[in-house]
Amino acid sequence: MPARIVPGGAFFERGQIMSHLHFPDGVLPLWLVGIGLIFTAMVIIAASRKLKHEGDLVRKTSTLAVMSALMIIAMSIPVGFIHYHINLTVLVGLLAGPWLAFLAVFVVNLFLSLIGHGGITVVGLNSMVMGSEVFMAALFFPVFRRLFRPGGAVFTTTLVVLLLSNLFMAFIVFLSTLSLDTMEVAAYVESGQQLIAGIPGWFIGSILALVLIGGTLEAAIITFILSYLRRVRPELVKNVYASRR
Amino acid sequence: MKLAFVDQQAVQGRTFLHRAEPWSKVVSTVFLIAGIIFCTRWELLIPLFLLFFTALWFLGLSPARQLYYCLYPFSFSLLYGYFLAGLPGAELTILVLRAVSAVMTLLMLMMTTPYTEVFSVLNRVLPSVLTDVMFLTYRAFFLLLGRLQELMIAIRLRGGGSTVNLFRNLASAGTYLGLAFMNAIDLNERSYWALLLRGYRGGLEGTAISSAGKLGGALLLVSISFFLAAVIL
Amino acid sequence: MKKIVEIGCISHRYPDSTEVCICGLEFFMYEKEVVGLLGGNGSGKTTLLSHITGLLSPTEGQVRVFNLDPRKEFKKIWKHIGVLLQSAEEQLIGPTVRDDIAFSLKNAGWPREYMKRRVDEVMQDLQITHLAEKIPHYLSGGERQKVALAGALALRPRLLILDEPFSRVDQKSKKELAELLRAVNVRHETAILFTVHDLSHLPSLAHTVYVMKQGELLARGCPQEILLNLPLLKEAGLEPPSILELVELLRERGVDLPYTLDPEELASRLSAMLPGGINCKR
Repeated sequence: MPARIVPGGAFFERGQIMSHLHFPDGVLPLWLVGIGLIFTAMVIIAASRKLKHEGDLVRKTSTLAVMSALMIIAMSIPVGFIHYHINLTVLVGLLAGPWLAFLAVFVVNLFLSLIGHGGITVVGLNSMVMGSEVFMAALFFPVFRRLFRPGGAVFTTTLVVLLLSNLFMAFIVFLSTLSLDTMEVAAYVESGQQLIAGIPGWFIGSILALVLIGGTLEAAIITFILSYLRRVRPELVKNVYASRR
Repeated sequence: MKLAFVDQQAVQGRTFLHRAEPWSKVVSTVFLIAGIIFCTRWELLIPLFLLFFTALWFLGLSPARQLYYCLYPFSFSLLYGYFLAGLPGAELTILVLRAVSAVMTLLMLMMTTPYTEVFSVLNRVLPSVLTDVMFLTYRAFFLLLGRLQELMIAIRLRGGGSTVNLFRNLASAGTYLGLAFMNAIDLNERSYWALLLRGYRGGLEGTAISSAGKLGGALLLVSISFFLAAVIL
Repeated sequence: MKKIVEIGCISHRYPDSTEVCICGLEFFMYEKEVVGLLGGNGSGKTTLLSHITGLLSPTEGQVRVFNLDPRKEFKKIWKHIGVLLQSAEEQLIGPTVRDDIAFSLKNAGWPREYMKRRVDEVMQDLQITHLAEKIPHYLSGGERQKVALAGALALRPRLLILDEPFSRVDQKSKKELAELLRAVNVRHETAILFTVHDLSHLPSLAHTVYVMKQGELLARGCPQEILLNLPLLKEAGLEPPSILELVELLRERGVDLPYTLDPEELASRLSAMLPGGINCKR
């Protein structure tokens, strides 16, 4: 086979700042990994049934594949000199609906895990974290739309959703440090306090700062994307802009 | 992009590992990953890591690039083990070794086995609709990547892209990703038409799975031995 | 002969509210016929093809393919229509070339054994057997087009539709493709409908040609008749074949030559006009 230029090689591979992290293999306890897999499998089954019930499966399969591919590519596009990478989950969630978007999130995580970006055994947990964003987006957007203009609602939804998904991720990390022995609620709270007390303030501070900066950047980009689409292909985003205040 | 690079190496490679049956490589990887997760001895993990490090170097993945790929799991496991789990030195080392060895194992699989072959194997165990989506995603990824790469070049040639003005950067990224989204929608429409016209009813045919040869058998033997050693020791 | 495609005046409204009308002459096609659809960009060629394949349904008017409504009866007719889209790579679906060619056969419910035999036959016909286990996106443009064509031909369709098949390939591949399509038409009696704006392969391939301009079917006729009608080609915004342009320039300069598409004939006429014929020796 003749030598070929690696697609995207020069432009797409840069630094690695993302709006949230992926769990790698071999770090989290097996019981938590198992819960992640079971929960994700349940959502996948529910989503597949729902989509099957709605009909037009061929179009949905095609949309799912293209949206997954777009998310994988978007994750590798650096935003100028800052080399920040976004994942488009909120956008896909708003435009394609949360169930289809969750399936796309799972496929993306599976693809990435095969090349070592996020673990393969924790694909369930990683999908839960990223997948939570699409459901939260569907939940919060109508609320913010009542309060703000479309651009503001998209920005606020993205920012809030990203902050909450990171909080969810932190909660999973907290769960992973607990033992499986039966404890009173108070013991769990104490355990959490001990955990937080054991982490240096600068560490928590830097993580929070990164999440805030990342979330704001991503929210801004998603808003720009939607405003661009509104100008050139309004029919694609009519659902977002048609919501009533 | 990492995915495109890795897949290209897998398709173009001509080593004995590339020639081994895909299913034996996938099953071996499953045993190795399971072994890595259960492993509590650095004496097993370090040789495995070094073996894969050398093999990947031989396969065309430079040490710098390998270290770059390991950087994220290394940092995550280190921070997690030290700050959150409060692990002592030896256990922390094992935790970090597990995370980086798992990445190397998966890279070994994907650098020697094209995605399509891995999906064909998964097709035997996963619901066909899921493997269909994976095949179609793989296809859409390359179609879209080619187009977006041209778009990115066009934007750069016209002075867009990297500047120190954050707002302009974000607006450029928004425009670019908006264009990417439109491309994806158009591609989706045409893919949908192609699927319809070719009578798609679910279930893409994957490459047939052959029985294990000597090489595949050897890989299985080694990986099962590693798994057993990791569990027993 | 039986008509297999019939279209009257139709219109279609796209989601972005653009409305395309296809009117003028009635469009029809007989079985085993090879029809070329000529027209510039935006003339409505692809819209017409999309109606025939049942991908679009007219908001007004009627389309009949094999005497059925292709949109409503899509499940009955898809097996009889093979399609080669303009971007061939976008219709390659299977993980490998072999899988891709087998894709439609599998969807049509063929038994595995017959499927394998047919795939081998088609690959042999198109001389792509060596590509069988390759992954489609790693192939060259010409190879991808051949694989896509093999996929379209696998079910031995009664009607083969090709959208701009000559636009993305080099001169040598164009010639090969034209020969291949002729062979398909003769050997399997497949009717062929193709859109084109490069006129070089029309005379040798098409039995009938339609000319379109902004949704209007301006003319129908045999290739010679259409191609020699320079005012019609100009009206449709098409560039006439170079040989005709040369004849016209010579006629303007007072050389008495008939319009012809045959280079041999033109050479003989010119040669006869020159004293001692054409002599390249210095």
